[in-house]
Amino acid sequence: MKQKNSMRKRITGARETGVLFALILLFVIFSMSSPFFLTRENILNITRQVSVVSLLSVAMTLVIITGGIDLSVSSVVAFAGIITASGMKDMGLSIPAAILLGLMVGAVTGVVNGILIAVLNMPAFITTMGTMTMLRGLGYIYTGAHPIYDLPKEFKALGQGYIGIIPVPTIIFIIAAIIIHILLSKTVYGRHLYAVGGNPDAARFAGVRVTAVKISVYVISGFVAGIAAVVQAARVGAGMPTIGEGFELEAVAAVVIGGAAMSGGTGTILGTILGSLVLGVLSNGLSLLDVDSYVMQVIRGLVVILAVLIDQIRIMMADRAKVKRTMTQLKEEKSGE
Amino acid sequence: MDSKLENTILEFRGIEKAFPGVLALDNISFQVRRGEVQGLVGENGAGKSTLIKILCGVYASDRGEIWVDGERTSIQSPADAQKAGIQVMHQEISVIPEMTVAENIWMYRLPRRGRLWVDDKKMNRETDELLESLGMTHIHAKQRMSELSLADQQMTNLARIMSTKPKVVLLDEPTATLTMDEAEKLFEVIHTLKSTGVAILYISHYIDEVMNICDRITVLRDGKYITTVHSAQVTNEEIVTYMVGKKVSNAQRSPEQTGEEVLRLEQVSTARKIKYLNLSLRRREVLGLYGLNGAGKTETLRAIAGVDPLLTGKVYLFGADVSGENSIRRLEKGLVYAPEDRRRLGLVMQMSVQQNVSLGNESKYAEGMFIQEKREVSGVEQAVDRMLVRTASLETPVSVLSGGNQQKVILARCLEREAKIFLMDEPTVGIDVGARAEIYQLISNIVKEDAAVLIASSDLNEILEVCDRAAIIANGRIAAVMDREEMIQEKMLLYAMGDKE
Repeated sequence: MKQKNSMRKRITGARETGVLFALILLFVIFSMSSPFFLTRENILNITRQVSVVSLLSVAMTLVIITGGIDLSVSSVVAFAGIITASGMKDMGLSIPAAILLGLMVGAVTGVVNGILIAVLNMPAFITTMGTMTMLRGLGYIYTGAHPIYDLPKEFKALGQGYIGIIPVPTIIFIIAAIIIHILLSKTVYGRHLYAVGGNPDAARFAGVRVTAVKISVYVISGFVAGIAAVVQAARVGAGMPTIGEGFELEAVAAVVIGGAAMSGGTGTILGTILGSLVLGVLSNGLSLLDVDSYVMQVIRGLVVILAVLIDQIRIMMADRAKVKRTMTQLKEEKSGE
Repeated sequence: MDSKLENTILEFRGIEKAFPGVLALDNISFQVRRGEVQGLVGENGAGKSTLIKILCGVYASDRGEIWVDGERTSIQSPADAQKAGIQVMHQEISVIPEMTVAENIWMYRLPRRGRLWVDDKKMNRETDELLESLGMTHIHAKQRMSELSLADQQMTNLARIMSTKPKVVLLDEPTATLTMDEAEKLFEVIHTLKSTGVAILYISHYIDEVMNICDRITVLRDGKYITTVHSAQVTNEEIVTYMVGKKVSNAQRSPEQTGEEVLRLEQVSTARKIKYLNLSLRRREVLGLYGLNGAGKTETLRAIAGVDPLLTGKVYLFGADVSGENSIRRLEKGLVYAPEDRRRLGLVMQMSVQQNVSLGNESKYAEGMFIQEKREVSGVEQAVDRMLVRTASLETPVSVLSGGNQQKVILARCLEREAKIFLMDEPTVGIDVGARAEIYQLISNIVKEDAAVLIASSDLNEILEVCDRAAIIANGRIAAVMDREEMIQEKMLLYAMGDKE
């Protein structure tokens, strides 16, 4: 049984291996074409650049595993950031209290999303698109479309500082990723996420609290988006209503490149991290090469399509092999008659 | 040629169809005459639906010929069947609710003016003429489909079928969704249809209905043609005897000493079919819930499991009223439910055997929130061994297992839950004979260990083989409860077919 075990891990690992291979390929290409790419500074810089979207994508992985999607995270990054900044500047809250307030904004958004989706059975895409749009608007109303500047230095350190040589956002991301990875792979809760995404009816009949599980992933996603909001506000040194636009799609793209299916039931944190690094390295490398930013957008889109296409081809080939096997079986049976 | 043969509009000659492991139809030959209503009856699994599917081009027969109106007709697809003048009215009505009656009827052959425009006037006029000729004067061409009752939607469907001028119309359980009055109306329309010379092949579970409406009745049993009789010349009992035949029942399990009552239903109704249902299950007993398809078996189990809310009545588990408790609370009290559709409702296909066995019960192997891999493996391994699940490893995706082994995975899950009451819906449907025997053995073992089992099945042999008692359900109500000695096939089938006497 031990041997079978490692066999299976190798097979399911194949998806992540593919993404890893793509990542290494990008590294090689960019190292050869730009002398600035493979430097310690640049690599650490990449990790800082991707940390906010990666935080979102790690939490998004949980949502997508259950078969849902959370588009509201990008607006949470803006709105929770604004509230945190305003907490320090206008409400006179201490830094930790202001941060906590920002996290609460994220979590409450998650509760609202979760109830609408899991209890009232609304489609996740539409629901979170609605909360996304609303929160974006609230951000503009709250700030009058003006950024909230002049945040305390200690707060900005969360986005701009280092511990040793490693950027603080990178550390925050790594800690969050490890916790969520353990949650997903080692706990009863994690198992239930896969079951709910794989077959909600079977999970329900087996005694899984499907509704509660579904609500919880949106709360986690909202809460983690709150963390991302704090990091982002600290990085740019302001609470801004414009910030984070498009992050939700980047986060989804990272999860999908990492091998999760939008239909639910599959996906890993490792895959998502690799997916998010692929996108980050691509942006960084292409801008080092002075590629036009519009061209860059086209390339990033292509990469997402390519990643899913490769997966689709793999599925089709597996299906074809299965058909072939059955055909030979059928022929054998017939000749045996 | 004598006149009888000339009157034949549809003839099956030596139809044969095999599926892996079963001969579904074995040399079926019979005729349907112009202007008659011919009933087609048989137990579930007798071959009715396979024969229908061959006639309407869904399946191809392995051997045999179909003759329509004196010509040998090759039916390879539904389009072929329609071209040959064979039309089916299925149980479920498929209509476009937002369109009018006329549009629904002429959907695929809209009358046109020029190439582009629909000739509404002509369409509506022809529709009203058609409806009138069929005696459906209460329906109008311009009504929206969604405004009609279910019965009238079905009538419209029938009108659409008649607008194609068919030679043979197949009615598959046409009254399944109708009330008594609505059914009466349908029967009137059927009489009108007969006079147009069309032949009607009528399939129904309800014996009184078949005897009433049909001129002749053809009986299939175990894939074989048994006989065709004039309904005026036989009794309900005779028909049922044809359907059941002289079956040799397999060895029955010897019943255990039953204990106290563990499950009780009092006057239970739900929105899904079942009405004022009473049922009682005792410890160490296997109770069969026998009924034909659509009688309300699954719905009964769903009500017990807490999936469907009760409209009336109460469910008692171990003497305590659990009517207000949800399915998870009932599960925690030891009531497990193995649904019929294992792939859709029982298992998570992407997950391994191990994960499926421990699904919903992972905390048993967990320390706090963390699953202890070793503890899980050893627990699942034991359950899988006891349930004789044949799998390459515990890590194998459950999707690659055979139907029998998938069912055993679900039983292993129930076992690990230390369940006391097992609800099983068609536990051996789609499972081969060998695995079937094993599952019956497992059910015996479960009962020996103090549990109680309720099996819902439309397979008489299954009920006779494993059950200590049987409750017969027809049309959402319990028609009879029989002890072991009273369980006689003909009697059970008669009750299941809603025989009124």
